Amino acid sequence: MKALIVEDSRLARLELKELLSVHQEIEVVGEAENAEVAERLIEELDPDLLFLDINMPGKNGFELLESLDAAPQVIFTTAYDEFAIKSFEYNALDYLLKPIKEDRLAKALGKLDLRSQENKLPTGDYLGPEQQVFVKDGEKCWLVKIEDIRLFEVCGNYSRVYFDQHKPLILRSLNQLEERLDPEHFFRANRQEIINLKKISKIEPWFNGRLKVWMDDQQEVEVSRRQAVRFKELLSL
Amino acid sequence: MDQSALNTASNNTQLEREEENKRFWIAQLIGWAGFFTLALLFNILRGAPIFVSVVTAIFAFLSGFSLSSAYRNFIKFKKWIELPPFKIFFPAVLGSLSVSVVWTASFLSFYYAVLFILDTPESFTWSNALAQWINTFVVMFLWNILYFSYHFIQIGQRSRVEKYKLEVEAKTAQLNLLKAQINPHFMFNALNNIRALTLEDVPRSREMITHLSDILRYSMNYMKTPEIELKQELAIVEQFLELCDIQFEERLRYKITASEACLTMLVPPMTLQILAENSVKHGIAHLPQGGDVLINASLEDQALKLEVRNSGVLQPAKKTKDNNGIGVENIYRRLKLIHGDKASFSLSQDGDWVLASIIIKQKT
Repeated sequence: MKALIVEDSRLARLELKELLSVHQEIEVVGEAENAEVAERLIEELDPDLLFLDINMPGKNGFELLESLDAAPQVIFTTAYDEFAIKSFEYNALDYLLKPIKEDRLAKALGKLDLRSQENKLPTGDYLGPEQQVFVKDGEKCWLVKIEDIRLFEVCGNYSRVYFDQHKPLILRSLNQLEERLDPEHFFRANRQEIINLKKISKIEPWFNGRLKVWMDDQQEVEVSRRQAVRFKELLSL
Repeated sequence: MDQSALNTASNNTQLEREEENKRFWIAQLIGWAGFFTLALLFNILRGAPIFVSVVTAIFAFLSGFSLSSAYRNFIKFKKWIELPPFKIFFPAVLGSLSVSVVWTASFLSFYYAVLFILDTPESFTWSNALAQWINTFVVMFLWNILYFSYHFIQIGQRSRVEKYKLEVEAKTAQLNLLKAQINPHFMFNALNNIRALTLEDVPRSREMITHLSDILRYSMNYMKTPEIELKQELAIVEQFLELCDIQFEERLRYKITASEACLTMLVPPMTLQILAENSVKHGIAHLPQGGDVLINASLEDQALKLEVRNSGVLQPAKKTKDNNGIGVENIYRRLKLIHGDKASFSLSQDGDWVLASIIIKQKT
């Protein structure tokens, strides 16, 4: 499994490599001393796992994740940052406090999803269902798997992401998102909303050739007349 | 008069109250003895017979003494002393009036009775009664003025003493509260780096452990002395920066300069340390390319001038999120507590530098 260490202190990177040397399954493919370098290396090396320091010069760890279309699995490393850690609500693999203990690292690595990477690979240009996006809303953060997202909704220049009981905003327009979402999995129901086809519980015909869709949390979405035709085609496949 | 002063006035101890009481009776006795002498002299000069003069003066003395003593108990019962001074005027006038009426009535009855017994009756005239009443009123009013002014002066003094006491207590409390802590982020990073350093440079890592323990010891003990020699503070700052160096490596460049004359001057401990820490935490740590920290101590016009500058841009205070505000506040308050107006502290942008500077005027 390919790992990238993102950490501004050289000695801290050395320390982490030393600790990882006994874990054969982890191959450290690169090291980045700041977010800018990390962005380039993530593009180049496509790592499966990030060891990510939160406090870095320039962009911090969260800002780095926000700038990525899809985030790899993430283990945070931090010296002392209760505030940042508490803000993390969802799906971060783990976080490690420096100096890192051997057994604590082993435990974190034990949580890694070592399954075949197929699902995590992008399908063509699209995000795979198991890929995750980093969402930060105010002081709360989530790493959300694409397949767990029920609905995207327009909100000015932002989009609102619905998953579980949360609905934070991300800094992407609905059109930008549509380009990156697999059309076999996500459908543009109308100008305002993109829905997850696997999270639909009921569909009924509506007025003027439109359709009414109930999501699995009973949220209602109308499919516009123009989209309803495509929607029927898609489902009859 | 503020509330706390009044509370202290009414909460004085048993001993103070007894002392107060003694003083009152002495003043009361001396005052009325004076009155007796005057009354006697006045009567004699007026041409009254000696016996009548003495008897009536004694009666005036006794009745004035006892009536005013009773009146004092009434004042205490009504707690007039706790009223603000300007609100005491009408009660005091009213008190003087009532006491003087009773006093005049009893005095006149006694006076005419004595004359009657001595078989030298004098006929009662309202003008005489009025004159008598005005006299007694003036005496009683004077008594009130003396009584209340004594108490208000007492209260004023006591509240001033109390204020000083509170100030001293507040200062002590502040100094105790102002314990600056070593930034935990720095500490754990240092430990982590030292751990890694053992892999490549054992002697240096051993040295770093000593630095870290020196800094920790210094930060735990510094409250024990309000001021310390500059060279000791600089030694700690240097150790601190060496530790930062293993974290930031080529990203951190630093230089400490101090003129010989400054080295034995006194500074509040942990001031330069906190400023250096801020320079690194808010300056260097945010610069991907790193930067410089320059520390300089010099003597200019009989004033110790301490400057800590770092590359970067001064961030507007965001006190809620970090403890930058607390550190700077800590320095500022300790300087004020120890040096008052003789010390100043400023934080400013100076070209490409963030400059923190402390000036302590030396006593001449």
